[in-house]
Amino acid sequence: MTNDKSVQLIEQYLVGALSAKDSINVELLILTDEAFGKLFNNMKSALNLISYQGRADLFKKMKSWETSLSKVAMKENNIHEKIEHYLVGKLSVDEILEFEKKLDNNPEFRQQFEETKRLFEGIKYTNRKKLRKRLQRVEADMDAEEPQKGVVRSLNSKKILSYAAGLALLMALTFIITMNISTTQNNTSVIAALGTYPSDLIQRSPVIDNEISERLKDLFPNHDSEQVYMAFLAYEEGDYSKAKAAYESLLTDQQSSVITFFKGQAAFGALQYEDAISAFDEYLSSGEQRYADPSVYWKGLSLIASGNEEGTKALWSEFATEDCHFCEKAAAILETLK
Amino acid sequence: MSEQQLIKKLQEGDELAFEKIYMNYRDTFIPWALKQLSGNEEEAKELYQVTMIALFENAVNGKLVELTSSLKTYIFAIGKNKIRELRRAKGKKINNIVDFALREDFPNVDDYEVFEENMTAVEQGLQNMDSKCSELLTRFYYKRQSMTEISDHMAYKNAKTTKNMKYKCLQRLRELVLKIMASSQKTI
Repeated sequence: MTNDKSVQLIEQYLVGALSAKDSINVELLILTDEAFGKLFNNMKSALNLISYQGRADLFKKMKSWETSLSKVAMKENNIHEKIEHYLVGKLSVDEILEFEKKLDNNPEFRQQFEETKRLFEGIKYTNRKKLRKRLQRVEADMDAEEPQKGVVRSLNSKKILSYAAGLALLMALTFIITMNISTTQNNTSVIAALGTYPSDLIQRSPVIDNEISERLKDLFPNHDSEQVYMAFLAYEEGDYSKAKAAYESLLTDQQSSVITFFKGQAAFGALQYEDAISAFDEYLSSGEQRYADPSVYWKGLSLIASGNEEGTKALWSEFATEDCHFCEKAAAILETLK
Repeated sequence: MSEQQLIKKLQEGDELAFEKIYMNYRDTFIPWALKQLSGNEEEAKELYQVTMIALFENAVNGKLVELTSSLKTYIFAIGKNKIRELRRAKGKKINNIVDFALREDFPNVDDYEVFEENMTAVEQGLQNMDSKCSELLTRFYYKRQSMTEISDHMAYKNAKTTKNMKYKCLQRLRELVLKIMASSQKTI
């Protein structure tokens, strides 16, 4: 066999282009023909070397792509910063002149500037709107909860409040306040019974410190511990409407059945019984077990407070016979309802 | 929580502290605003809200560092300025205090329709993107938090990682906004 033919045959073998029969023939030649075997080994080493270099070149190329990409990112970041500094007036006079010259002479830069400016303005605008919505929610809550205390109450509504309506309101308020006092006392025992409620942390310090923050992070890993803390703090201070709003805000960010339970408690404190019932229902349907007993108990209280004693009786009929802390409390209340 | 503690929290962009301050001065500001605005209750509330938004932005932008007066005096001073600005702006076909305040300090907002379209596109972009990304952009560009603060709050490895993330998020928002704008032009 000529050398050229051998080279061709080995090449085809190495790249897998031969039939099974021809491949066996080549392998036999490698074993039996010393010159052919030597040629084969040399060619195989050369091919390996070529592959190795090819790979190395590819890695080098990829590395250089990465470097240039990160350079682009860095450059883009710098451009964003420069545009931002220009917009907020942080550039020196010389820098402003240079910046504006570039804006005039470089249409590509002008476009990038306009796009980036739009994003910055949009972020600001969106967040202003969000803050305003938050304040509107606060106002709406106040209007819904305490129209009798509103600073800007309507004069007309005062005029039409007749003596009889006033008396009825007074009676209703007396009932609600009585209920609320008793439930506030119950709150304390609920908090104590829950164990994981971080009221001890809140009582210790009015300001969140690292230790408290860490503990809250453990208890509520998916929520901003500072916000959770503020919600608990509002509850502890007796500002139930605020606590409720804070829990709702936390739930907007991330759903959590435990936070929903606390929202129910806050809604109860804020005399919003329908909301409280919905929250406890939501908690109970979540499958979470930690606060299942207190949820049933508090839902029952909410039903009584909203005038649905029969609902409470039905809800607690079995619950009150079970062996648990809140079941006993429910049984005692059922006795008084009889 | 003392006033100083609330201010500190506000400077960090804490929205619950913001709400607390809102509640603290609401009952004195709104009756005052009612007198200034000839008894329009809704406008008085709106004025208080835009005043508070300005307070929030001043706080996060480091303008409350050397607060020489009480917070209450400062809030009323912002309110007075807002009324003056609004009266001046009324000559320029702006009658709604909220619209005026939302657009405040954006340069060259002459074509309101285009401006509104642009802002809506960015708003939608922020809503459609990954919530971590929009939070990061809000913390950096609106609440003016440092890379280190953001890294701590959002559990990123370090300031450098956060900076890279910020770049990626801004690029993502840019793409989304361009896409939203292109599709809205198609529907027109």
